[in-house]
Amino acid sequence: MNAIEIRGLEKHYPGFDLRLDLELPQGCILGLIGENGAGKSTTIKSVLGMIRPDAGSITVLGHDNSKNFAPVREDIGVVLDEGGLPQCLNAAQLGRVMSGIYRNWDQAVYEDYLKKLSLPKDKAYKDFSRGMKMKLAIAVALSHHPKLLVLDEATSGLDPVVRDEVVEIFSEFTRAEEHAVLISSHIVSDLEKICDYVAFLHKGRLLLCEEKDALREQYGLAQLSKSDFAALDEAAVIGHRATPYGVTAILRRDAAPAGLALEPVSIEDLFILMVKEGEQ
Amino acid sequence: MKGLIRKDLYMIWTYGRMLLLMSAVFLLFGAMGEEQNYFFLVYPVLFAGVLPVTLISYEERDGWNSLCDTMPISRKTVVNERYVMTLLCFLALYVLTLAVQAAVLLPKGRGAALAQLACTLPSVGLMAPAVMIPVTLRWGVEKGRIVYYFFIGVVVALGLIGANYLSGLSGEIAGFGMGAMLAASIAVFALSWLLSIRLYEKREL
Repeated sequence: MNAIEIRGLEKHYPGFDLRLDLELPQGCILGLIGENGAGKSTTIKSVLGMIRPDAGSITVLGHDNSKNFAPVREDIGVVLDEGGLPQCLNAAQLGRVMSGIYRNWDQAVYEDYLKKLSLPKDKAYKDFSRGMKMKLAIAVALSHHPKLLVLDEATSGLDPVVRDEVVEIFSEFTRAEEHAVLISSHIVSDLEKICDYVAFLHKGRLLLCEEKDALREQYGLAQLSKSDFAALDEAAVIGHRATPYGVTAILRRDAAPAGLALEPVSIEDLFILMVKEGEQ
Repeated sequence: MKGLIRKDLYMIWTYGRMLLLMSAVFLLFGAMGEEQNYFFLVYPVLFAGVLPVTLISYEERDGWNSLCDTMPISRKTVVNERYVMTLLCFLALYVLTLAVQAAVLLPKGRGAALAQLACTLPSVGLMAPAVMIPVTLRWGVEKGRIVYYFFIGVVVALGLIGANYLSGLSGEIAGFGMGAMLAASIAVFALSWLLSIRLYEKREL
């Protein structure tokens, strides 16, 4: 079963249109990559039923999210970019609030996370650093035994140590087969570490959605002279960047000329060059 | 709803403590002197009614509205909790104000003045949130605040003029007028509740 199925989603705002089909299989981590304003948050808000799509359907954990979706959220843990927790509350108070909201709230798990993440119980959330705030939001999101974790820019603004810690928590969460994670970020390196699937969003359109390992198998990076690049079959070129010394191009391995040396491509290079290619 | 009420109580304790203290002082001032001072009597109830509404501004600043919308709580429940909390706050200060005034007025044989107060206070304490909550939930805190100032400036003045006017009427007519005012306040509050549910369910967060 898919944890999330998005079919023919359309959401229109003045100057922005989102059109999307996407699937997140259970047991997987899907990274939604896109520049600011690409439509990541709109996609996540649509999945969570916070905004109403203009067209299309979204199924989350087997439920249509346009019909009586609130009870399904019992199985969804969410971390938003802005945190969203009341600034004046401390971690202990938050635990008591959440125990009155989630039927599956597990105080022991919550306390474990607080200890593991070195979060003080009696300090107000407003006095936390950005990293601590995010860790507390993650502790809250994971302490009611969710099956699906939805993270909107949860790693942005974190220092590398905290980011690594957070990424480790997400990896641990997906060790259970029935768990799935949808994570959006414009920091591609974070997603590259943990994702099974990556989806590139650009200006409200899905440029690509593939298994991460398959991307590396399918595409390669080539350093070419301008004349060699011009001689390439257009169908082989996914994206390219011209420099004074030549052209850096991402090519389909199956369509690239035989004998051409192709280096492994990073998700970041693939995304940037695909976006640039689209704009050209 | 239990979790939301718990959160609001924590927030009221943090953000409303000083105002609660001021209300207590105003209640004492209201109990002093020979004549009833409506400002001191009305303020605590007005404050109590709008306190849960002012929490919405803190919640918007913190992004709580969005996060709450990802939790297993329907928007209807969110609105219901807001109105229940408003009623609880209002009733607490309403009962307290009446108790203090009863201690002052009843020994002087001024039961009618107490009854008038009992009927007019809800028109202030319930009407203010009844107007503000739907606006704030649908269009945000800024517009809610404008409505609040408008309400303070105009509607409270009208309420007080009405109360003074009623006090000049004969007992029976004044009694009917006060009863009508009380009924109208409750009706407007109930309508506001229903309207808020509709408006908040349509809002995109």
